[in-house]
Amino acid sequence: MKWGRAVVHLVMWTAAVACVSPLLSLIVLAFSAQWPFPHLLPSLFTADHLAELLLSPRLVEAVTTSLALALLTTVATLLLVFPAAKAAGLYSFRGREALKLLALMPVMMPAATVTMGLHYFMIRVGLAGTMLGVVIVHTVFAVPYAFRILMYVFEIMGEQQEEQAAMLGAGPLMVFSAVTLPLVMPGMVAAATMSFIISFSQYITTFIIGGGRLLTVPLLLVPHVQGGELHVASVYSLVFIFTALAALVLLRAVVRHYYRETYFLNP
Amino acid sequence: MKAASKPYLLAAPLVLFLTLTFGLSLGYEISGLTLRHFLAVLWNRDFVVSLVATLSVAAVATLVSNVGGAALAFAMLKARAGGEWVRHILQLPVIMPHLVVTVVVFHIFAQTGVLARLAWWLGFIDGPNQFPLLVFDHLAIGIMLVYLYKQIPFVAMVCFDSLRGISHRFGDVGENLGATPWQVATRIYLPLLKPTLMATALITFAFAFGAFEVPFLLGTPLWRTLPVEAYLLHINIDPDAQARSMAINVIIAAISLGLALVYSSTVREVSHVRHSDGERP
Repeated sequence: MKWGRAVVHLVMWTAAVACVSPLLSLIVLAFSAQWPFPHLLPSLFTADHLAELLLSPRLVEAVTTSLALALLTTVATLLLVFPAAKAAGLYSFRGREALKLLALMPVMMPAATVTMGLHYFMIRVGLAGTMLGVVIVHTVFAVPYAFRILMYVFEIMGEQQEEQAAMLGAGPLMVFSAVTLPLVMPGMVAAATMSFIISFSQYITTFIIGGGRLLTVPLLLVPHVQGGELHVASVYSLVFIFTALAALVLLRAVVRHYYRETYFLNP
Repeated sequence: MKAASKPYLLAAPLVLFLTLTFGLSLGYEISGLTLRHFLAVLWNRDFVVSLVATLSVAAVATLVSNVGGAALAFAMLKARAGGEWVRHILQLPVIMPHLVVTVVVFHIFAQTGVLARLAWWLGFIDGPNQFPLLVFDHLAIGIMLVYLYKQIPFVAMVCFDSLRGISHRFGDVGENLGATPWQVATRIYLPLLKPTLMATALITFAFAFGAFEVPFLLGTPLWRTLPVEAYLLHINIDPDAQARSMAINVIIAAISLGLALVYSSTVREVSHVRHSDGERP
């Protein structure tokens, strides 16, 4: 029995260390100036390059574009998914399972494959190289996560409250703004969070449809990985992680401020 | 009272959007995609190697991440209160983008990476060349390390949440009747966990099968995964190569569709509440 507990703790500690050490190694790498082969730690730590890299106009452009794409994708995803998730969560109808399967497809379909196929269409209608074209493709891959979350929220919510409000004389707009929206708001935040992260991490979709006209953080990062410039890559990686985290914390804070809901915020 | 068409109207925009994007992605736009291209692709030795390699990498990554993830979930459950803090930490790999994990794997496992330096200090090797090739290697170890870092915590989190939802009375009864902890885990909880593992296995397989960035950046020059192969043909200016790229993409899409159908037919999700039937007054 004692032995069993030791194994349990060994497994958990190994997992915890393995989860955290990549982030730590990225931070060490970002602050290293010289790190020749046999040395276990950098021989020189500095933050000089860091400031230079962080203030470069290309990085500023990439962060701005990434944030804009992620925000637009989030809005587009929520607008498309909200009604469909409501249908799947509240009503039983012929085709409900088919709808769920369709909304799951982007998880199963490789992004590279779908994007290459769409590329020809996008070129013909002039969407290739535009923000709208990229947002459309990002939205495809954000849909399944947002759909799942909101469908469950609608299932839990039921429709009694909406019916009661309507019975008491509230119009459709009033029901939506005073009853439905506040009830599903925590789920909306979770769905928005996922959509944002999905869009923010896209590489091949942005690369193919953007056609070199749109520079995002992943697009800035990849050439440095290919070139083996891991120091620069680590700085961009940290920017990538912390920009996404900051945006999400801000989003949650704004919603929390309005709704003062603290429960059920995690997907 | 309620119009029967209401759910259809609500779902219409999303259904339209997804069927249009998926439909248009099947290559109608590329002129001259004929059966000839499919045959040319299927007849090619490189394609067969790619297909087998892609499926193998996905299968190994799926097997290891699901066995590892389930084992970790059991350990977390066994640790009772201790499992909670590990669950918080597991969220980190899940939100870390694949590209960033790729950078880290490169940094730690390359021949001049952290592990090679450690091996040098310990006297196992005399120089970087003696360290085994773990990135850009034929066995795709570097690629799989990225998948495992992302997927083991994902599987563990889903399994842990699922196990937590199962009453611990089952296990208590088993223990009372004299089952060993191993028997409790494998005979009682593992069967209860099977639907969850089926879902995570399909999702991890589909991801590893279709991923682009990771094999593109960490892959061996000897063979390529199918999506990378398709991409390199796609950016070729030769129209015939582009048609072959599309043929490969259609084959990838067919396999993915198969996975999705298996998912929807085997994974019956337990609904949280009973559905209203839509005809209630």
